[in-house]
Amino acid sequence: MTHSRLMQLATNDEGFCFDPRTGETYQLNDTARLVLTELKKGQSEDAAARTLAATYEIPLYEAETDTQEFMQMLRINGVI
Amino acid sequence: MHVAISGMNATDNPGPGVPVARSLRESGAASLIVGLTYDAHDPGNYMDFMIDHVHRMPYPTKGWNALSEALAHVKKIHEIEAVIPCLDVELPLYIKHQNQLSELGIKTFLPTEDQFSLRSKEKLIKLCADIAIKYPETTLVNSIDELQEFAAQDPDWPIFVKGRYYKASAAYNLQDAVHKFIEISADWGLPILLQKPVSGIEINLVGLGDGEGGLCGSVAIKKLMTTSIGKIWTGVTIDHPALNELAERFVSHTKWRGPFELECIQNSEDIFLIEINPRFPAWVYFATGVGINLPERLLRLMQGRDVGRTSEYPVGKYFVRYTYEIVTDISKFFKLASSV
Repeated sequence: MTHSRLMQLATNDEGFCFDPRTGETYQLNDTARLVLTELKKGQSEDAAARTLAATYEIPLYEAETDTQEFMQMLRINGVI
Repeated sequence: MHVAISGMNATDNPGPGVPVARSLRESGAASLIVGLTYDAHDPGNYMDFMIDHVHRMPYPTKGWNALSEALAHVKKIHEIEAVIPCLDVELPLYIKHQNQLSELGIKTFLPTEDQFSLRSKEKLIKLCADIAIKYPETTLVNSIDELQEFAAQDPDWPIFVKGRYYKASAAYNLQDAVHKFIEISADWGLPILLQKPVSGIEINLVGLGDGEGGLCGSVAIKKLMTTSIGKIWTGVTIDHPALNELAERFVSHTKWRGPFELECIQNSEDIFLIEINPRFPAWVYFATGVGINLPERLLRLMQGRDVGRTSEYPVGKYFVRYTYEIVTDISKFFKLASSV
């Protein structure tokens, strides 16, 4: 699933994230930054979770939970 | 062009005069800038690197005759061709008498009285409906009895108690609301508005209407840090299509003439229009700094010249205010304090 708002988020290597529509800023941890980067590449949430699991060598179910939690935070903050 | 500008109060509650002057100075649009001040203490009075001359003006409460005499005097000395009034309290006088100013040879570019009145808070409810934008749930009251009737309906406190044009304060119970009703109505008259707070992100837009329904540029921002009285200290430019469309609709519907600021709240679903200020905000230099020089465009409109319509500016530009000190001679203060 591609969220157009999500594609507009500006991020840098330090995990700083800026929403150009609202002006809100967020600080992402490394895993959140990785998930966001994958989603912005057009990957699905499932694919982003697989990349997360492979990168950090964690079980897939854990990576899926982390990804879902991140998506939930984006929704709570009105980003998507 | 020789231009007079009011709002020299670059204090912790800043007026827009100094940033307007800075915008005109940097663009070269004004060859001479005269600051119009009401208070000898105003910091802009001492910024001789930006303001060429300063004149102390009679308070607007003295009425039009006193103000027009003072402006005629400033024109005679400095040959001013235009005036940009920047303060809420003086705008009704300038708007009402803009034709007389024109006869004096002083150009303005101001809303009409009808346009000015459209954004009064009691009329804003209708205007919001007309331009399809939400307005916070609001009740108008004309007496303390009506305020008590409102409180008897057991509203969720706090409630914002607002004057018809200016001033707003949160009230946390009926007693508090009565106190604020008395205080605000004494300054701004009736009715008083009782407004349900809207939670969300505050977003703002500065724009300029050409008086024919066209928008001559706008910049949208979010205030990131504000002072204890809610004035911007840091901010960031944003790209908010719905807010831009709102500005277009507002200008098109009202045929707004001159500068304006939209104050809105964005929550997860909607934008609410909270207030329309009929002048440049004190953060107008932020727009200039990102390439949209609205005071310069205002002068071009006054002169009947072509004016840029673009609103393309970089998003994510950061605005920071700072403090600054000027050391000058007390004689400058005495001279201003003893004039008028």
